[in-house]
Formats: sequence, C-alpha cells, structure tokens
Amino acid sequence: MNGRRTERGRIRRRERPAQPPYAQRPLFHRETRTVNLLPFFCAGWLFLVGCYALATSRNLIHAVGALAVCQSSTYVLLLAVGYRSGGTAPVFSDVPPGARPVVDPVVQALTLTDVVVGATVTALLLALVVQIAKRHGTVDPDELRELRG
Amino acid sequence: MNGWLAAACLLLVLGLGPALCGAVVGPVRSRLLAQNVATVLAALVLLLASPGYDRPAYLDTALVLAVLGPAGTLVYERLLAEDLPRGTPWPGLARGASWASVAVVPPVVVPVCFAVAPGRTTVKVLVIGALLVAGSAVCGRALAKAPRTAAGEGSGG
Amino acid sequence: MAELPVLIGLLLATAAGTAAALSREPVHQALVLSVLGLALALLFTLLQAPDVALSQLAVGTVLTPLMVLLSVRKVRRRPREESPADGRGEEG
Repeated sequence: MNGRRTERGRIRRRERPAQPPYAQRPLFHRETRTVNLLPFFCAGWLFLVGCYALATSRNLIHAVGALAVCQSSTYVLLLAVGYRSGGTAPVFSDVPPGARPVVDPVVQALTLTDVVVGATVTALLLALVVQIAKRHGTVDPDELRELRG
Repeated sequence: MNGWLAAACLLLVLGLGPALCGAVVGPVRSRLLAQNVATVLAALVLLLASPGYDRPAYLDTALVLAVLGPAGTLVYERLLAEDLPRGTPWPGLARGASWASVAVVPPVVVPVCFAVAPGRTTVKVLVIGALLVAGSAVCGRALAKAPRTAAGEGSGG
Repeated sequence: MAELPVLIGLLLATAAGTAAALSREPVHQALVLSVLGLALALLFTLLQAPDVALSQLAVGTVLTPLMVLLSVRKVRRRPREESPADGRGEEG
C-alpha cells in the first residue's frame, strides 16, 4: 500500500517533497549571532587595515601591497556571502549534480574574476611605480613634488 | 566535523600560526624558510580537506600547491640573493625547519592514501607527497647554503 | 563545532593580512604577502571554492610577491646607474 487514508478518505502519497538543490541553512547554523557575522568583521578589518597602511605608506611599493590586502577583503566578503552551511563545492567532476547541496556558484565566479583583475591591477601599478622611480629617483610619496599646488 | 577536519584544524593552528610568526620577524633568510614551511603545511591541509569533505576534486589544489610552492621559494631565493646574507638567524634553524617540514609529510600522506578511492586517486596522493618531500628538501638545502659574500655565516648546509 | 575550520581559516587570513599591511619594508612585505596568499587559498578551499583557491594559489602565492620583488630590484638598481652629477634627490 503506497499511502494511508486521511480523514477525507483520500490516499496521500508518502513521498517527501524534493530537496532543493542548494542548502538553505544560514552560514553558521545554531550558533550565536557574533559567530555568524565573523566573516564580515574579518573582511571589514582587512579593508580598514589595508586602507590605513595605504594612507600612511612611505614607499609606493608597500602601498601596492596594502592595496592587495584591501582586495583580499573583497574576496573574503564575496565568498562569505555565498557560503551555505553543509553545502559543498559546485564542481561536478567527481559527484553527480544534485546529489549534494552546493554553495552559491555565482559568487564564486565573481570572486574568480576579482582575483584575476586584482593581479592585473597590481602588475600595472608596480609598472607605474618603476616608471616613477626612473623619472623622479624616489618612491617616497612625500618626496614626489609634481602634484603639489 | 570528522577526524580529517580535526587534523586539518590542528595543522592550521599548530603549523601555520608559527609559520606566519616566523615570516613576520627576523632576517630575510628565516622569513624565507618560514614561507617554505608554510607552503608545505598548507599543501598538507589541502590534502586533508579532500577526505574531510569527501570530495576528491580538492586534491587538485594540493597538487598545484605542491608544484608551485617550492618553485616559488626557489625563485624568491634567487631574487633575494643580495638580501639573504644580512642578519644572522638562529644556528641550525635551516636544517631543523627543512627536516621538520619533510618529516611531517608522510604521517599525513599515508592515511590519506588509504582513505581515498583506490586507483588513480591514490597515485595522485602519492605524487603530491613525493613532490612535497622533494621540494622541501631542495629548498631547505638551497637556503642552508652559506652565502658567498658574508664571512663565516650560515648554518653549514 | 562544524564550522571550526572556516573560523580558523578566517582568523589566520586576517592575521596574515594585518601582518602584510603593517610590514613597512617591501622585501619583508613580499614574503608575508606570499603567506597571505596561502592563507586565503586555504580559506577558499574551506569555504568550498576550490577553483577560486587554484587561481589564488597561482596569483597570490607566486605572482604578486614575485612582481613586488622584481620591482624592488628594478627600483634599487636605478640610483646606482644614474650619474653622480644628477641634481635630483635620490632615495631608494
């Protein structure tokens, strides 16, 4: 017998509803709110520390490294937004699609683009720093006089 | 949270924490050593994540790091040739660090070999282990060589 | 706790990023940037993003510190090649 009779006399099928293909639970299930927000605090802290180092830098190459730290905060933020507790990677080379709940794949594509663009920006900025050193003989931002009014 | 992830957490806290501290303080030679140890330990954590999350696809990341890590360290050692002789690290640090990073690889690789599916995946894990051991041995030897410009310095290979 | 690896990875990446931003000397900063790249790649794998971790390994662990060290080398060589009669203030 596939089901049992309800009070209205109709046979109700016993199958459960289909699981959604993505995990619905929030980031840290059953944990306190502070732990839930830790990835965003870490991203904010990284960004602020990078900005501080960028603003107080005495060497343009060090400033480019501080910018790399700022960029890493955006990677952490994006992936934390897309993460689902209990989910796995949206890579289906070793598991069939739909077998396990996955984390958000769109955000991972954004982060991938972000990583590559960040590397390109770093390369361009370092090339500019080398040109500044060639032209002005210094990489100290306080010593570069051309932009002064 | 299974045993593999617990071992990965342990390796993260006890291995990468001190490696980060070593990369932050000290002369350039000891920082480069700490970076080398950090790449080996990170590859081991990635190797442990594969049976931990039950995804054989995570082994590819460990393989890429096992190839790129020692190569990167050797390139940095070449580029920092004029900075390395400055400062005296602790004696025997180079040898101790390279031996420690070689010794921690087999206790991680062998159980993972038995935990993954037999066949190609086991060969992949063994190749990762072999690359890590060879890479860290080569880097340790390259970093322990006495520099040519300093007088009587270095830990004697 | 089921999310302990992610927590530890987050704290490690934050510590590495703070150390990288606060290292003033570019040569030291390059090596700490390499460790930051490693910590971020680990964090991405623990957040179930292995493809992003692969890119981060290639970019952040090898390429970015390499470019920083190359530009430090180029900037250092500049003042030695210029003639002593040059009137501009030269700082490495």
